[in-house]
Amino acid sequence: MSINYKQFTREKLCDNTFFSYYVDDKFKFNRLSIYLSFKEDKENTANTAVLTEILKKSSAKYPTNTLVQKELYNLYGADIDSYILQYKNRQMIGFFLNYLDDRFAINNENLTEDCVELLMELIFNPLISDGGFDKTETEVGKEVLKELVESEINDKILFASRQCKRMVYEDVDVNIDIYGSLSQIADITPQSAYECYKKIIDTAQIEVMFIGSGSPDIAKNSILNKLESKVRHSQSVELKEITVPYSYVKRKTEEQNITQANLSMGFVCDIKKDYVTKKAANFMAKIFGGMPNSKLFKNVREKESLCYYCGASYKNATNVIFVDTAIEEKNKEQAETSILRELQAMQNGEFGEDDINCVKLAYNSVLSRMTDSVGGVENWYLMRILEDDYITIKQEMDIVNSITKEQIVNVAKNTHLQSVYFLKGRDSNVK
Amino acid sequence: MSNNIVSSDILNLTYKQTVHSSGLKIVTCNMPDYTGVFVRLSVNYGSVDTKYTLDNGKTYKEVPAGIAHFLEHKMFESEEGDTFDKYSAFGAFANAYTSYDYTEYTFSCTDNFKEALEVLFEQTITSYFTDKTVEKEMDIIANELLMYDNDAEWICQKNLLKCMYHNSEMRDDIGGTVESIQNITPQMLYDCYKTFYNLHNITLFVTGNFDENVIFQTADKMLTDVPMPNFQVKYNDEPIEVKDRYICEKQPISKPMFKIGFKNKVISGINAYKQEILNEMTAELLCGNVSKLDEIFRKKNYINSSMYVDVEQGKNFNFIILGGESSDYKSIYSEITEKINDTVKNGFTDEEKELFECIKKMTYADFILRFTNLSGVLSMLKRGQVYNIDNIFDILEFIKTIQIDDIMNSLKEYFNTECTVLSVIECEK
Repeated sequence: MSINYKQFTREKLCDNTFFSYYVDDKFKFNRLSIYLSFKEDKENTANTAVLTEILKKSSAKYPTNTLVQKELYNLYGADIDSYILQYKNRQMIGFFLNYLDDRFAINNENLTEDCVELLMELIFNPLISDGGFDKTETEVGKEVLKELVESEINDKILFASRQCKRMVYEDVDVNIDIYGSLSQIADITPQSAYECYKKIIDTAQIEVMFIGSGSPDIAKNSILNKLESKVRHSQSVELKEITVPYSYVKRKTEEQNITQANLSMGFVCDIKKDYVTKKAANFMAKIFGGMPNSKLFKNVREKESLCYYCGASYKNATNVIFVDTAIEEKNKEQAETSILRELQAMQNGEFGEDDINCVKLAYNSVLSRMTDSVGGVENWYLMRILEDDYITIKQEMDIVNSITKEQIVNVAKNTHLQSVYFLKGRDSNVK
Repeated sequence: MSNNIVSSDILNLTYKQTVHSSGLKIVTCNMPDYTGVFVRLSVNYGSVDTKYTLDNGKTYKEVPAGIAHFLEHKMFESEEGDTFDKYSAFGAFANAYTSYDYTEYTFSCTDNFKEALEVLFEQTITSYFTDKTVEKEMDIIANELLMYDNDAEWICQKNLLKCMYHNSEMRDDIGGTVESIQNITPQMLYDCYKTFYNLHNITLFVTGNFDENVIFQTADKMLTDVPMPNFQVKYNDEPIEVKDRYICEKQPISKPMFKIGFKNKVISGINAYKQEILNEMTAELLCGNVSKLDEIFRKKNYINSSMYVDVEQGKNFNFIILGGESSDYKSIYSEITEKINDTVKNGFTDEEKELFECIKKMTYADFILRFTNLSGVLSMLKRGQVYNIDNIFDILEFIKTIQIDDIMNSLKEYFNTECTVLSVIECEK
């Protein structure tokens, strides 16, 4: 067998159903993924989220999770997982299975065939009774979602960052809570989750991806057999732009029994929403606080020793830059002032061509290494599908290399502080 | 320069082990199908190396906890400025970290490999510490340590080790404490640097798409042989018994978390790595995804997600952790220790024997998958060096030979229910 395609190919199989593959024999495992993409339905956030737990745990053929796990163990410890992605008004739930390539199987087992069959079975043949999913798996799924929501408090930097995001996106149509609220989760029933599932299977754009070193044909034929004759009512989702308002600066302080405080700040970039301007905003965030030689790292951390961690990141879908830092409570005012001073410096153009070149080199390095890992290949092409922007890696490099200082300064000048969230220790006097 | 070339037909990989004339050990794995290069420079100096002698044990220098980590931070500073800037100028991503036994400096890149390697060598062979820069770093590191103190998982592990060890350096955090680092001086940093950062005590690992000549030409140009100081590190004596069996602390978290630790004797060499694999398989059979205990814990609503296994060993430590999140941690602890004692007495069930065959296949696949990306290959080469394994690929054949009796031996010897610690973080109300 000699397969060495090394190029990403996406084909339409049937109604709004696509099959993509990238084959390179340097990989030692294969990754088969099924993504269901649809318009975000806020009423059904929790019901959608619970599907990512229920579907991977059982099916009509494997009625308990133990049976699914045993089958995975039989398949050399194949690994199944799921996740939820959101981009603007488009939502995606994905299921993937990583498994050892057939050529390594000790007894020449056909792992691909069994793995494809297992993933198809789990997604398209769920265990149903009384017009709903299995009660036990639904309850376990609800409990997992509840734990995911409640566990946000465990990581203080993440918690502060998410609280800040909630403030920034308070008045726009952006859902931070992708698992739903606790009350929404409590309201999930086997029937409500199943209704949600049926709707998604009927209407979603289906993307199947095979990335690895084996043959993609078995997966392709299997999905074709499953869906070719099925009448679906799929709907394409047109992406909606999001504009975040910034007329005044919101402030919020909360307390927990913690040893170190967390400061998170949200900045809205009031810029054009084209690809190049967004890329310039990415550059602005990197030079501001996204790299070890950024302004925040060099000045807030290294010069002023205010923190160990202080980073900025740009959100492409909403044009917002978030700055997160962990500091001593007494340094809150100084840290905020310093962060704003560095933003001012960006607006004044106080950075050089060498800073811009560093970002360009870093981007080029990341882009050219994208095909070194299965995850890298999948992430790149999945984002293209999610964003409806089928730009090639080469085109992306060309855009990156074309970014100028003027474009970056222009983004900085249109960047406005919108929210400040501060998480401090109890019994502290710092406001 | 001596070469040792090791190949695997099944994995289609070859790596080379060389000692450069400067004393630097170099391990390379050329992977031309890839685009990037991953580099790791590993100094055989970690947080537990706090007591050493330079005069064959007549006198010992004792340095504050956290100094290896402090030194790691300071190695990014030179008279000309921050070393991160230099890496960035070549499009390389640099990082560093300190563990209990090693300090490691890494970078990855696509272009400018030679230039980035020069930065790494320069960083390693020069040191620059002043009162002012050391004092400034104290604040940054203090902030780092405070950050970990907000991390319940970290606290749970820290508490577990404090209970597990009586005297060992493992009782100290890798980064030390806010108090201990205040005692670090530029002179102490220089002393440790001169002792431990000798090229004979360092290994360079490189994987990916690179020109091997570049490594040796750069090493020839920049590195010279400085005689290795005659140092020996001394570790505090540690009994096999644990110090305390139980510890509980409250933190603002959503659900109690727990870690069950099994303290074990320190072992080294290839057998240590083989034992690590056996211990992981034993833990999987005991309470992994499809174990009987996992099924029981789920039925009783003790857990919603399976427990995790962490097997850690090094210069002066060896322990296994079974951890998870549950309000019923005491019941879980009891059932696990009962199950171990029962299995040791009565043997594995037929169902477990069947499951063992699956776990063996899973372990075999897991080992292969560790060689599927550049950072994974780098980690495996490092393992080969840590455990002094001539041919890391031999492990694949070893896995195929594992029998259920090996698992029983592992259970008897390394899951001793008399040497356990239960560390818990309860939810603060």
